[in-house]
Amino acid sequence: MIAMHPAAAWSQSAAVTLTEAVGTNITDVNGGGFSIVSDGSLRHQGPLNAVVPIDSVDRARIVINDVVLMNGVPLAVQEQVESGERRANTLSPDLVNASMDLGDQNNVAVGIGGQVPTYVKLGGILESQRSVVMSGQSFTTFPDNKPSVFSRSILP
Amino acid sequence: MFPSNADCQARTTGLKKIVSPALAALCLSSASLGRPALAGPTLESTENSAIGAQATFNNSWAQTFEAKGNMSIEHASGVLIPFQQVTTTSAVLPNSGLAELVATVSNLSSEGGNVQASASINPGALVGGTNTPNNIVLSASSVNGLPALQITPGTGDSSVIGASIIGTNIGTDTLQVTGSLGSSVVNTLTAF
Repeated sequence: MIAMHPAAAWSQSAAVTLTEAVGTNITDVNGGGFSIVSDGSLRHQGPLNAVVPIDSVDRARIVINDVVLMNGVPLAVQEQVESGERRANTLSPDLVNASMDLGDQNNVAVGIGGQVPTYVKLGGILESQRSVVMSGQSFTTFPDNKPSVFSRSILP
Repeated sequence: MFPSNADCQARTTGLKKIVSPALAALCLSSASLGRPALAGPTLESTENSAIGAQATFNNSWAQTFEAKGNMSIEHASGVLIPFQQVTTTSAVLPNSGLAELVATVSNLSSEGGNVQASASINPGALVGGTNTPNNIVLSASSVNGLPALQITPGTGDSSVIGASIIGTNIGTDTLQVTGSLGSSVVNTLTAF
């Protein structure tokens, strides 16, 4: 908004600027892996793991101060699904046939575990800046000072 | 461009100096002003705010089992079947469920503010979505699974028995929310 001085010189101005910026970061794991540990009492003949393609990935949702920064599958992840590059390293279903013969065992131990392909980090940031700038021009009423609203040279 | 005082004085005193009509008009209009107005007071106010949130998720899970002592299984021929396949939605491995981060920072001021946040991974999806049955967990069968295992104390003066089942689940590992507010006011006054 600019208010014009009667003498066509601007005298006051004001500006309000609102700037907002948002950012997101998402990290996910593709593939993962499993491990099987045993003290030797486990009996199993067959595959231990199976790598399978994933046909769908659920959404990632990031909301900060009611502003939805992300609500869907990240493009890079979706491209992996569509190209068949999204996979999961899973335990083999044949493991249900594994057995542990207790017999004379006095100690048995078995464990399974690993990492699954999913999101491991979600982050977002919401920044805003509000800037108000006002400026003006001033004139003194003393004619001997410059600039003045009066000029002694033209006063009677 | 406003004329200088020398230009205007040359015009009023009749000195021979080339003065353009436009310059003469400017001299007339600026005669009452003396010279162009100087920049006067300025006020600048800036307020910055930044709200950030970040969550990390543990995508590792594990189940381990260990037992010591004289072990047997009543309903089976001494054979333990340690694994079972999960095919129902009641005991699935958390994998590709909705990962969600929700954070709110309110009443942000120089005194602080209020922070609310939550993060989660919905454990509602099987590994690989719906196209794979490869979900293996420690067996919960009371016939030949871990619950069927019996450990009998020894007959000696002392014996060692024990069992443990330890699990690590997928879920939120860390959750961090930050809010910052900065403001500045610059007031410039010109005195003359």
